[in-house]
Amino acid sequence: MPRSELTGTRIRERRLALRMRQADLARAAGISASYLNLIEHNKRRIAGKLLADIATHLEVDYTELMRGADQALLETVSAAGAATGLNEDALTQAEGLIRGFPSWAGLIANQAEQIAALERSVDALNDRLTHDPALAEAMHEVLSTVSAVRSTASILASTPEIDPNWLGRFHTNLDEDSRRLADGAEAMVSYFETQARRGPGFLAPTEVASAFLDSAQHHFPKLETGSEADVEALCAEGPEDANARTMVRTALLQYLHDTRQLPMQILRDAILDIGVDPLVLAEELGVPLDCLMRRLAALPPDAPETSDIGLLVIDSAGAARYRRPISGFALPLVTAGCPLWPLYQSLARPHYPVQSRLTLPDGAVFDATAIALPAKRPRPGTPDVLHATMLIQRMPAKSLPATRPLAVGVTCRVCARTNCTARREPSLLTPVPDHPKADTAF
Amino acid sequence: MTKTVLLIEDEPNIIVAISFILQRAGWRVQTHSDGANAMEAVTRERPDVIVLDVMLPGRSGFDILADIRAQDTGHDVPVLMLTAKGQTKDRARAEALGVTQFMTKPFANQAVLEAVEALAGQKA
Repeated sequence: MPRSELTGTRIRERRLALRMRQADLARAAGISASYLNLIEHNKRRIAGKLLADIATHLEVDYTELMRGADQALLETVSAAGAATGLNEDALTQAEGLIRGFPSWAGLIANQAEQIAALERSVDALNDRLTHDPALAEAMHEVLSTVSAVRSTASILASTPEIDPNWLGRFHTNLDEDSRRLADGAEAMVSYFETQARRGPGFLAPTEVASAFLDSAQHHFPKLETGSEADVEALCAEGPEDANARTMVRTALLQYLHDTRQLPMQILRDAILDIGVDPLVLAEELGVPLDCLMRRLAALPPDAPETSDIGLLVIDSAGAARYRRPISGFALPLVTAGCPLWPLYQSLARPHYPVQSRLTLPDGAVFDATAIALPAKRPRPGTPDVLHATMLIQRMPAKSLPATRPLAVGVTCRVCARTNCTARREPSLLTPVPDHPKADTAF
Repeated sequence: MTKTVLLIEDEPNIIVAISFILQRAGWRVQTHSDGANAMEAVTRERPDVIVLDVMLPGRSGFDILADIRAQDTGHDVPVLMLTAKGQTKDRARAEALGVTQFMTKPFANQAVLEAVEALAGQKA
């Protein structure tokens, strides 16, 4: 069955566009308002008669509600085929595969995602060996000890007439190295067992920290009126990995600081009055734009705007510091996004907000607001460290003019856009020209 | 004339084992276990072959290799570098710095002996 990840969102969009109350649509479709709420937030799948009934009451063809899901599945299946080297002719069959064999297409998509997750795990492990000096040193210690044991044992086995002094020395060395090897192997097993307990594969601390924040839906009621002691209490319930825990602590301390600048009730009241345009809200409430955007991303799960908001914070190197995901707009945690995003544009003009309406290859439209600000008070003689924050919203912001949206992607590797001046690597979804132009890489 | 191999390695029991193998095969073996002043040993001993570990206390094997190649004399001495298995980035970096051959740990004694003798033959 095709994944209906975006169907719920499309139902909600259409309902809001018709200014229809959730309870009224639920009653008309013969389901409870709470169940419809779960559907609209993509926490329950929907298909068949119920989808058709809802589509009728929303005065739209049911295929319109499924279109987003089909598109997402088509992109995933096509990317899976391109990754295995299927030619263009084969790739054009993907749509027919989805229509004729939706279950098998779903299986291909699921397996492609599993493969991608495993590849990320391998990359993370390789990266960890390269960039984790402690692990690299531990591996070197184990391999050196194994080398010593092997060399010594080989000498003893191949030299029947060996001088007694050497014999005694080699036996002592074998005894020492065996114990060191046992200790080293135990330490390595313990290290990897700890990694496995944290989640699938060998996740980087950034991913572990992000998973913890996702599990709390980025809202921490205790911190809304809490203290640093509450931050520590939450950290104690958080990741076991020390590095991930440090990242969680940093995020929660920022959260605590933000609550004191902008209490949640004040924000929610302001949203009711003037909407969710971050520039307007920040101006009206007199708070820094980045703080305002972080508070929007911290709205309670039951707030109507919550499922329509995503947030990404990066440093000057482009590395993600914080991410709140949003359905339909993939925000990367360990890879780079699309260079055309306002997030990266804002780094070129610190302190100036950048706001754009964006359209993705599947036609979805989002509003993006970004600003880059110094992470700390600038000091003479030290480089500026900037943090860029981008808020992604599904509902259009009122202050944006009705201009043509900016065509962007998610990340170059799986972006089908052609003739993009910002492309940094070929896409799996489009053929690479035999002779690329000199002034464009791909 | 007896040829000299300089073994720059901080794992003492590897030193013992490799020294035994090479000395039994007629080599004069000098050893040094501290990366910080390894170049003093290189200059003093003027070996025919150097066996160099990647990870050393005080200074990395890569830095020592770079210094060996930067010398006015003896810069072309054959260097056998010992790396951890699977670290392909180590190999690429060693090649860029001018290593003659590398071997991954754990290694076979006979493989080390054959490599050292082959490298000495190249120098001659």
